[in-house]
Amino acid sequence: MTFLFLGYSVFWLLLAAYVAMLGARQRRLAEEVADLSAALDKGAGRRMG
Amino acid sequence: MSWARALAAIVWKDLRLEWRTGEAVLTPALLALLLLLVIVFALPPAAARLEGVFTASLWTAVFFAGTVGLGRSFARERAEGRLWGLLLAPVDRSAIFLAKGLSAFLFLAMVALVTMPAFFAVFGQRLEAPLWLWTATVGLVLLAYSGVGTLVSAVAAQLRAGDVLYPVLLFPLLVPVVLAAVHLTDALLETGGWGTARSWVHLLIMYNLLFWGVPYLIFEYVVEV
Amino acid sequence: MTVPTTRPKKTAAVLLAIAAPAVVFAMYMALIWAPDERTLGTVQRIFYIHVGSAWNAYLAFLIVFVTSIGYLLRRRPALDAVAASAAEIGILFTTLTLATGSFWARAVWNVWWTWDPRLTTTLIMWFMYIAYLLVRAAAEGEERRGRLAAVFGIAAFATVPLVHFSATWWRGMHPNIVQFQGGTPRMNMDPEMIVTMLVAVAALTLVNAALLAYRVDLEHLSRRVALLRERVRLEVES
Repeated sequence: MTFLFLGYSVFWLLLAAYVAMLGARQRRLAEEVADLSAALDKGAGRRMG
Repeated sequence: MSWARALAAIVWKDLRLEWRTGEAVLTPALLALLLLLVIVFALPPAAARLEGVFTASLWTAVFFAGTVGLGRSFARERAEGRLWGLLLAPVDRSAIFLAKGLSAFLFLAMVALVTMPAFFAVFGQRLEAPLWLWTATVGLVLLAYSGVGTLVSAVAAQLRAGDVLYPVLLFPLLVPVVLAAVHLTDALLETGGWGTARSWVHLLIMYNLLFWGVPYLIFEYVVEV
Repeated sequence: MTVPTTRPKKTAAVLLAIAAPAVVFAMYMALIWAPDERTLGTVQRIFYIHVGSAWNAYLAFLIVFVTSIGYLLRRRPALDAVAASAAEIGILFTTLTLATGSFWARAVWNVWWTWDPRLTTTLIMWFMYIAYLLVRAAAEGEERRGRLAAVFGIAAFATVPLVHFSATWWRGMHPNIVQFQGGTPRMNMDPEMIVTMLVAVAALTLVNAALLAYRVDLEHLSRRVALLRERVRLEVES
């Protein structure tokens, strides 16, 4: 394995890892938004209904 | 209250408090001397005479011991609820920074006065350069240290676990000062003067201008209530 | 506080659409089109992504610096969001710089690391912005977090010129591509290499922008979550 190949591979791997990390964070946050919104709607429903 | 009087009042308060508690001079000085002992035990016998070992040991001890006193500069005020008193006083916030910075400098100077002779004695190192040159060099280094140290102390005092974070936040910022201290000390020991290391003096002056000037201008924002 | 929900995401997608072909093209130029370096051979091609990463790290930290000043003056949460995002991305690019540089070092100097001024100061810059993230994590409350991070973000920027000029102020192993000959700066590289370098820097800048847009969107999302949590908490208590 040449250092050139390794160098470029590590570069792209690290970038990809960061993007994957952001993606996972986004999914988690979106889930939480959905959960919290549902909880709020339920609460509002109970008060009004 | 006039600006200068407010400054003097805060510095005087810090000095009096130090006389009673000893946490900004006594404890750091003790720590520095303990570090000296640890270094002496950790070094193999011949190593002490090697080039650069004295300088590295000396400044490691001074910079680490300094964080103990410096880090508490603002945390101390907060713990007793005194920070509110300080901030509510009709005093320019920047004056508070200058006062705390000045106290910090005085305390660091006292620590150095105790620590450095001890290091010279234990390592058997001769002065090699005139005392006034040593004073000027160490003074510039400690001035820079107290400026940036006070700024970071004000930030860390407002953070969770700020005491613990303080060295981590401070040391990256302090690197140029450490480098300057080491290079100038080596120059003084080897040539008896600043010689070719004079550029480090310029760097220290620039650093001081930046890290006293900028916090002075923005301190209003640093300690907002 | 109004939280923009769709714009940053769309911006990120658009930037990615431009960045992707640019990156592919830059890779073609760097790996195939550019000539081999006379003395170092093919491994020198790491240089293109190495310089691209370094410049984007500087750019990201410059963004942190500017938005930090802006936040202290204007107190817009959007500015703080950009500062936080740019810091993270700057750390990423610094890591990439250190990593690619490490492979170069191993190939050319036979060591993975050396305490050369440029490398050492870059490592310090890395620690500095990690410390910035620590300040953000340890601050309680959005106002305090924004304000203290801004102060630290301003102070931390002092490291960037230190890194950049370290290679010229102090003698070390790190190569200097800009030489001053009789007062005028000149680059001792083949014109094809210079072009490739500029293309690589440009392509990675687009990647930087795309990442920034995406990350800022996440920051807003995370603030929305905090707001919702607060509302749920109030609901439960009432």
